[in-house]
This record gives sequence, C-alpha cells and structure tokens, in this order.
Amino acid sequence: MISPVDRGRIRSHASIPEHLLGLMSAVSGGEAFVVDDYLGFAKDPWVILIGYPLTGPFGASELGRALTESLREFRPATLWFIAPEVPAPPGIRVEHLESDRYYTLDVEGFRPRPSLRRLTGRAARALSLERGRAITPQHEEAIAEFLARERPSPRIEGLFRAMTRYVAQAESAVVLTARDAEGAVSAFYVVDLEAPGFATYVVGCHSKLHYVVGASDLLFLEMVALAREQGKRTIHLGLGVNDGIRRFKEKWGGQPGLPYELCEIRRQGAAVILPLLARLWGR
Amino acid sequence: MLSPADEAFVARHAYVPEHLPGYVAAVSAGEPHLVEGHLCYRAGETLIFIGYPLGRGCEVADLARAVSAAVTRFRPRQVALTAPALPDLTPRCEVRERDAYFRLDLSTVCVPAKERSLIRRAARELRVTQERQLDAAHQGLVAEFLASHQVAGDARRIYERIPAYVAGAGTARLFSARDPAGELVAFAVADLGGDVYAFYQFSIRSARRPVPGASDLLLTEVIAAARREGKAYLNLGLGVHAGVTRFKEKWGAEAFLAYEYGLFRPRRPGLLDALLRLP
Repeated sequence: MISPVDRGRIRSHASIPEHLLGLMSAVSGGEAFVVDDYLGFAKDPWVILIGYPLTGPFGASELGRALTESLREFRPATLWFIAPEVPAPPGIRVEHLESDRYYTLDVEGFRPRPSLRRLTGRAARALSLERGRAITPQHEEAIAEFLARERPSPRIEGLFRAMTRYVAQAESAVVLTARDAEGAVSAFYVVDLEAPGFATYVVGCHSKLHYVVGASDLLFLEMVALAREQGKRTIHLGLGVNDGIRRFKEKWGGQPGLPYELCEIRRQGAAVILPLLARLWGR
Repeated sequence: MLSPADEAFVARHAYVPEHLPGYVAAVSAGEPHLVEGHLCYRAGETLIFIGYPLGRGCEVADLARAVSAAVTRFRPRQVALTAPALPDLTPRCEVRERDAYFRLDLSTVCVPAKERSLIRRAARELRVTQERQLDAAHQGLVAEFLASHQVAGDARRIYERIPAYVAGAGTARLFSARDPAGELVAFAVADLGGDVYAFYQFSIRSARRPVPGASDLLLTEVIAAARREGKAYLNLGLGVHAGVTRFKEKWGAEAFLAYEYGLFRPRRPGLLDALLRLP
C-alpha cells in the first residue's frame, strides 16, 4: 500500500506517465508500491517496476537492488520493468524486449504549421468540442467500433476497455470529445493532468461512422490548449512505437527525449523446454 | 488441436523428435497445431514452433511465412523456435544453440566390431523386455540419475513427466534391462510414432549397478524393434556434447540435419507501449 506521504511524493516528482498512480493502477489493475526510489505495481503473478527514479538520478546498480528486492518480496512469475538503460543485476537474467524513446511536446514553444491550422480550421467548422469527466455510452460505442475495425492486440483492447473505470476513478482525467453536427462522437482523447509539470495523452479514438477529416488533429490542438490553461510545461505523447505514430507526433512538434527500455524477468517456462526435447539422451 | 487426418499426416512425415505430439505435449503441456505444414505447440503465452516442415523441403521463406502466420493466429508473448537455420524474423531472434540431429540408416547399420564382445557379454547377463509403463524401479533409476547428474529445472520436469509420456503415447516403447535377480540396471525409451523414422529418446542406466555394454545392448534392441516395424531410420537426437556424439558416431550415425534454437518476442506494443499509443 502507498502511504499518503508517498502518494504526495510520487505526484510531485512524477516525470513520466508511468509515475501516474491513478492511471497505472486503473489500467494495470495492480496495487502500487514503492521500493527505495522506485514505483511499482503488483498483482499476482506479475510485477511492473518503473525504473525511472522518483527523485534521484538514475543508477543501474540502484535499479538492480530495487529489482532484487521486488523479486524477493513478490516472487512474481513475470516482472516487467522500464528504465532509461538496461541494467545487468548480478544473478538475474534480464530479457531486453523493446527500445524506444518518449516523445514530448513543449507547450510554450508549440507552433503548428499553417497546413495543420487550415486542416483543424475546416474540422472546427464541422465539429463541436467539449471537455468532460466521463466515458459515456456514446464514447463506448466509438470504442467498440474502433476495436471491431482495428482489431488491436488484447492488451490494447484491455487498455480501451479500462478507460471507463479509469476516468470514473481518476479526478485528473479529462475526456476531450469532438461531436459532429448530429451530436455523435466523431473522435475523443483521454488526457491526464495529475502531474504538476506535464499533461499526458492517454488514448485517442476516432469513429469511421461519424468521420470528420481532421477531428483527431483538432483534439490535439484542444489538448495543448487545456495543458496551457493548466500551467503544464510539457505534454507527454508517449512512445514512438512505429513510423506512422512517430510521424503523427513529429508533425505536431513532438520531440524524442528520454530513452525507454522495456525489459522482462521471467521464471523459466515452456519456451526453455524446446532445446531440451532432443537432447535428453546422454545427459 | 490435431484432427485424426493431421495426426496421420504428421506421423507419415515425422523426422525429428519434436514431430511427436504425444511426446512434446506430455512434457511441455503444449497443445499441438499444424500451421502451413509446420508443427507448433501452444503452451500458455509461449508458442513452441518446430521449423522443420512436414512433407516438403526446408525453405527459409516458407518458414518465415509459417511463423508469421502462427504468430498472427496465436498471438504469443514469446516464440521458441528450432529450425535448420533460423529465419531473419527479428533482430532479437538470436541463435542460442547450434547442433545437429544424428540418425542411423537402418538398412545398413550393424553392431560396431569393437562392441560385439561387450554386447554379447551384456546379453548373457541381462534380459531385455518391452514394457508398457514405468514402474517404481524405473522411477527409482530416474531419481538416482537426476540426483547424480544434478539435473534441475525444466530438464528435471521433462524426466519427471516421462512416465506420463510413456503411458499416454501409444507409440512409445520402454525397453528394460534386468539382471538375473530381476533388478533393473538400465532402460531406454524409444518412439516408433513416425512412419519412416523411429526415435531413440533416451536411456538411463544404474550407477549403483553398472553393467558394461548395457546401453549398447538396449540400442540393438531398439534397432531391431524399429526394423521389425518397417522404419528406415532411427533418429538419435542431437549431438549434445563430444562424449554423446562419439557414442552415436561409433554406431555409424551421421549428422544429417542442422539445428538452431532461438527465442524471440513478436513486435507488438506491450502494456506500457499500449498505454502511450496514439491511434
């Protein structure tokens, strides 16, 4: 359990979206914990450790100690962690899964290109914007349509399905919605404002049934406006993920920043049986 | 799941031990599937993919396509893959092990000259029988072997599942060598589940009651059984290490098929990536 003191410390020192307690607890379903200067989430049989320290500078050996402590405390089947670099803690086999970079947008320096201004200007004439505090049945319809169309991985589907619960629980969550002339949801963003220094883009979704060109871009502008009103210096746009997503972020002025390494520590499973199948003889 | 027609297809073309669904399913708890002529096993979030095609030659492009199809179908978190040569699926699919499968050509194999007298002596001392199930004596030998060889982890679990494999797979054969007092001194498990190939899975002998030539005697019995059932080859598994390879080569086995093993995770956004993904 997180004490109120730790909760305040985490909130004031959050530097990446994974430090947001409300968001991570709701989406992962895990219970937050703190080990040394690191935040984690645990739910049998897994643990997620956020390897970006809350206050001090990053140190691979300090992260190694936090990993060892988390493994000892929770004995998970799988421990995932993210960190700015891949540590090599003694006696622990770390599997490096992904490399990426966080993308952020400097709110003060935000100057969209004229072509984007024209695009969003056209969209603004066809859409009305609203800021809300709930995922309504209309949003859920848009989500269902999006999931049926895109057929994303179960994890991304799970993320979208967790939005109703997350937005209901987290006071810092805001739903930005673009509605067409009939009032139908054309697109929406979920943004988190928990951290004092930055806003976080959480998810976005657009409808093909009520499609309006530029709806997602218009919501991006609205997100920047919201962040500015709230005194945020930056917006966390998440990871590069792939070329298409990177292009979208860079189109709007997103810049690559902190390195992101996703790693895994697992108890041995079925995979390691394979090389043994034809070599039992003569061991 | 494999249909009866699939099972017959697999048996007709099986040539490596991983083509034995009864064996792999018993020790890995994986469910067998056929994907584009390749056998794979779904075990939880892991896909065990056997990159040796059934009924056709090995082509790297075919293998890459089949692995991609299996990943799309089963969405595993990780893929364990064996193949003659690992396809260039991802930079993270590194070769972790290299070896080669060995086989005996049953039309030409004969007892090595140097071993004949040894095997004759063993045959005078031991009686070899075929049985259907491991009993307490077999399991005692397994326990002795695991302790003396310090076998741990997943390899240990495979050995511990051998009784279930032998009892459950109708094609597994247990060959037991006993001394005149009836004491079990060695045993071997072979699988005759392929139409063309038989598979020598492993043998265990007693360190407490060693009988020289017992392993060779068991191998001659397996060869004889495989010939009786019309098999053309006996797959002896991988080379493993120099000592085991020498034993196989002593019998005239040839390294007939390259082996590479790798492990990779299909590229897809994980939990944390997903959290931060723009549409």
